[in-house]
Formats: sequence, C-alpha cells, structure tokens
Amino acid sequence: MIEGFGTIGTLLFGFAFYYPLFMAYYWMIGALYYYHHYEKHQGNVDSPPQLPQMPPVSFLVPCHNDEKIVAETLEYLLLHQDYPDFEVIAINDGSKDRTGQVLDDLARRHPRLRVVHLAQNQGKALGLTTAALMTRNEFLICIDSDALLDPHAARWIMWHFLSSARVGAVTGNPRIRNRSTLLGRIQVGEFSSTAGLLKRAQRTYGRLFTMSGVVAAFRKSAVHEAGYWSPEMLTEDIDITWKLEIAKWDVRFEPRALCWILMPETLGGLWRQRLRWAMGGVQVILRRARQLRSWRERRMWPIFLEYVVSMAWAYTMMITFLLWALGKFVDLPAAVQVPTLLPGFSGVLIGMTCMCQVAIALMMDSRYEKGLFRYYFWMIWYPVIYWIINVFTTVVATPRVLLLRSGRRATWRSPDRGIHTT
Amino acid sequence: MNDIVIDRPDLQTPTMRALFNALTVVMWSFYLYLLLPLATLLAWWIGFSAVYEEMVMRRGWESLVQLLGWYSLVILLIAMAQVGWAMLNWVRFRGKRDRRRLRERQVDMAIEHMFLMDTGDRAAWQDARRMVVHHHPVEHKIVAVEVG
Repeated sequence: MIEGFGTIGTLLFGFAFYYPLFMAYYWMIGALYYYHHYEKHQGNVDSPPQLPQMPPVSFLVPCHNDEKIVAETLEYLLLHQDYPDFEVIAINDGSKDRTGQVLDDLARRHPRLRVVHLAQNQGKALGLTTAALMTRNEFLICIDSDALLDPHAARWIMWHFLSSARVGAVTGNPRIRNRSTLLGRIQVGEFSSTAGLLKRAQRTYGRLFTMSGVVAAFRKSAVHEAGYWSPEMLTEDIDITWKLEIAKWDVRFEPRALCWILMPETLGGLWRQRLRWAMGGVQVILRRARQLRSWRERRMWPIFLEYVVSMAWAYTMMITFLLWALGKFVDLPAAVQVPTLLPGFSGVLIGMTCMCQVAIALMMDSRYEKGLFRYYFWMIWYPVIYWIINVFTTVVATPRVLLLRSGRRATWRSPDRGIHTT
Repeated sequence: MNDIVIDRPDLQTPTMRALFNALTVVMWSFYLYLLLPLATLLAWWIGFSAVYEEMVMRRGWESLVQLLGWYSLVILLIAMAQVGWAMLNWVRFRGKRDRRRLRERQVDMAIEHMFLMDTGDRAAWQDARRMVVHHHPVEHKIVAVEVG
C-alpha cells in the first residue's frame, strides 16, 4: 500500500505504479477487441484472401555493410514470395564492405532484382526515398536487409490497400528469429506484447504510434503527399507514420504479414538499439507537436499524450528510485520520503497484470506461430527488463535529442544481429 | 517455420546457460514473493490465526476490498471508453471506405520541386537494373545518376 508516505512521495509512487498498471489494461482490452472484431474470423497466415486484382509491387531493401546476410534475405524474398507481379530494389547505402558486389552478382542471377548504389552513405530514409523514385509501381513494401518476409505477406498487405483508397500504409508483424540467449527469448514475448498487443489496441483507437520499420508497406502517392521519409530523423518509421496520419491517411496493422527479424543478443547491442528508438520517439514528438495544435489533428492528441505521459513516467520512476535510495543514507523531509519500493497488494495486481498481458499477447500471436507459449518461462524477465530499459533510455534520450544538431542526416551502422553471427 | 528460427543455446558457454537459467528461477521466486499478500489471504481462509488477527481484528480486509473496488471501477471505465469509441467509429465510418478516392486523384506526383530531378532521365532510371546515385552533401537532392 502507499498509505503513510509523504505527500510528494505518495504522488510519485502512485503515478509510477498505477500508470503502467492501468495502461496495461487499456492495451489488453483494446487488443482483445481488435482480435475478436477484425482478426479471429479471418484466415490464417498461409491462407490469404483472394484479391480482386494484383497490382505490381516493389520490395525495397536498404542495405549497409551487410555482405554476410543480404543474400539470404533477397533470395528468400525472390524465390518464396507468393505474388505474381513484383520487383525487388536493393539499395546499397554506401557500404564499405563487399555488399555492392554481392548485390550485383545476385542481380545477374535474378531478373527481378534491381540494385541502386548510393555513392555515399545517406541513411535509410534517403535510401528509401531514392528507391521510391526509381520505380513506377504504386505499392512499396520495405523490409530490412536482415529480415525474412513470409511468402504470403504481400497478399495480406495488398488486401488492405485494395480494400480502401484511404489506406496509405500497412505494417506487418515482426517475429524474432534468433532465440539462442536469454535476451533473444525475452524479446520473443516483448515483440508480441509491444508490436503486437499495442498495435492492435492502437488500431482499435484508430491511430498507430508507429509502424515497424522492418516491415512497412506504402502507397507511393501517400508517401509523396506526406513528403517522403525525413533524412534527419533517427527513426524514419515513427516519423513517416505521423506524417501520413497527419495527412489523414489510414495506417493499418496486419498481424498475418509475418516478417522474421534478427535482434540484438548482447546488452550493449540492445541498449544502442533501444536508445535510438527512444531518441527517435522524442525527436518526432518535439518536431510534430506544433502541427498537432490544430483541431483537425485531434485524433492524434491521445497518441501524443500517451507518449508524453510515458516520458514523464520514466522520469518519475527514476526520481522515485533515487529518493528511496537517498532515504537509506540521508534523513529526508517527510514530504519526499519513499520508504519502500515493494507495493504490497498493488504489487500482487501489477505482477499478475504484467504476466497476464504477456499471456494474452502470446495467445494472439500463437495463432500464427505454434509453440510460442514455451517462451513464457522466460517472460518473467520482461516486465523488469522492459521497464528498466524504458526508464533509462528515455531519461538519456531526451537531453540527447535536445542537444542534437538540427538538419543533420541520420546515417546508420550495422546493428548487433545475435550470437550466431559472432 | 522451424527452419527460420535460430534457437542455438549451445553457442553460449555452459556457465552462461546455467547462469541465465538460475537467474530466471530467481525472478520467478521474486514474482511469487510479490504474490505473498495473496498467499496470506489464502492462508487466512484455511485458518491461520495471525492472518485472522491482521485482516479481521485490525480490519486489514477493508483496505483490500476498497483497493480492488477502485481498480475494478477504473478498469471498467477504461473498457467502456475504449470499446464505446471503437463501436462509435465503426458505426460512423462503416460503408464509407472510399472517401479518399476523390482526393487521391488530386495528389500531384511531380517530384522536381522536392528532388530537382530531370524527368526526362527518370523514365530511364525507372527501367535500369543497376545504377549509382549521387546526392548533394547537404541538401537531400539527387545530383547525378549513372546507369549500368
């Protein structure tokens, strides 16, 4: 219980524990509604709906220093994708290794593959924009260079574009490939719980915070109207989602468009990735805040507010912890005392809620990936790791973004892709 | 999908594997510790007197019931607001999926003002199977394209 704390301590402690608790119910209820309303009665991954037409599609695959993995990605796409009319455009973004040569060799063997070499490293956003200009096709499906797209994914994605002219973009369902270590296994549940559960709940509301950049499809005219990808943004996927939604295009989530991805399996790699995501989120919030002042953008307000409150929560958690730790050594005034971090009966509910959230997320995704519940044992780490990483990345990201030089192009370096690659 | 998933715990040292397993068991123990108040309550039901003293003599159950009542009310309000909003939108926009069609035709697909490109060459670029693209170092614009 929180009774008996000082006034400020009570408020901090209350916000720190109740905000994630009630948001978890918000996500679960929204996701369950989406699942029962839009998902449950549709076919499974390998039985996509019949499409009235099959317009040509371009797959865009940006690569940077990916000589070891890009061939697997491209050949999987070229040989397995169950869609009649497509081309693949690989973007070699100023790689210093043999990526360019690997791509040229592949293009000689696969007539559907085209290669765009960028003379210098320009970053993913400008790479995608350049590739989008080099195709006549109206529909673009972008995947990362280390991602294997499910053979039926294009059909599931196109089903949305053909169902409504309002749909400007569709994001798929990223699934973790590498599960050799504890970090890999935690992320299996985390992706169901964040990418899956949150996106379903956000679709129930009607707006997504972000597409998953690893598998994101676009109507080119929508991207054009929104001004293409912004080169200076650290997370081009969050930014393009907001630009499209502000331009009143519908951004959808398709849980059956699976995309198998590699994630970091070291703490350093995970930290770098999550810090970039957090900085990207803060960057988008700061940049787009001014545009949201209009009444026309009212549907974006809850998405904006949720992110800002989450940032405030991260700082609250940090302050609560520091006050508790400080109280062990210094006699603090009663108003700011935090005598314990153990929340009594609230802890019962928070613990059960977290594990319930993960269970619901795994239940939904286990429809598309059998045997997912075997990772539930490792999910006990998820609430702790997720909270800690969220708190620290947000606390570090905000001042860093404020100090960023504006207009500077966000280039990239190859991420940690798991223990099997080392 | 089994051939896609990479599950190779053998790539770690046996010490690392044992450590991660042990730590996970410790985490589950902590989780069960969080549930102790619930276990205490269950213990009361099966007759442990200390809990009886805490929960009944000192009226500990009152705060528990009050807490659960508030939680339930907030969760119910969240559910009503969210599902109500979703249903309202569903009713409102049902059958109006093509509102965008008129506007879509008005999208100006000219890109010169954004990228300073020569549209004469662009048709050739869109057919090329290999090209090298040069960008301006500061502005986000294409300055040259070599085809082939």
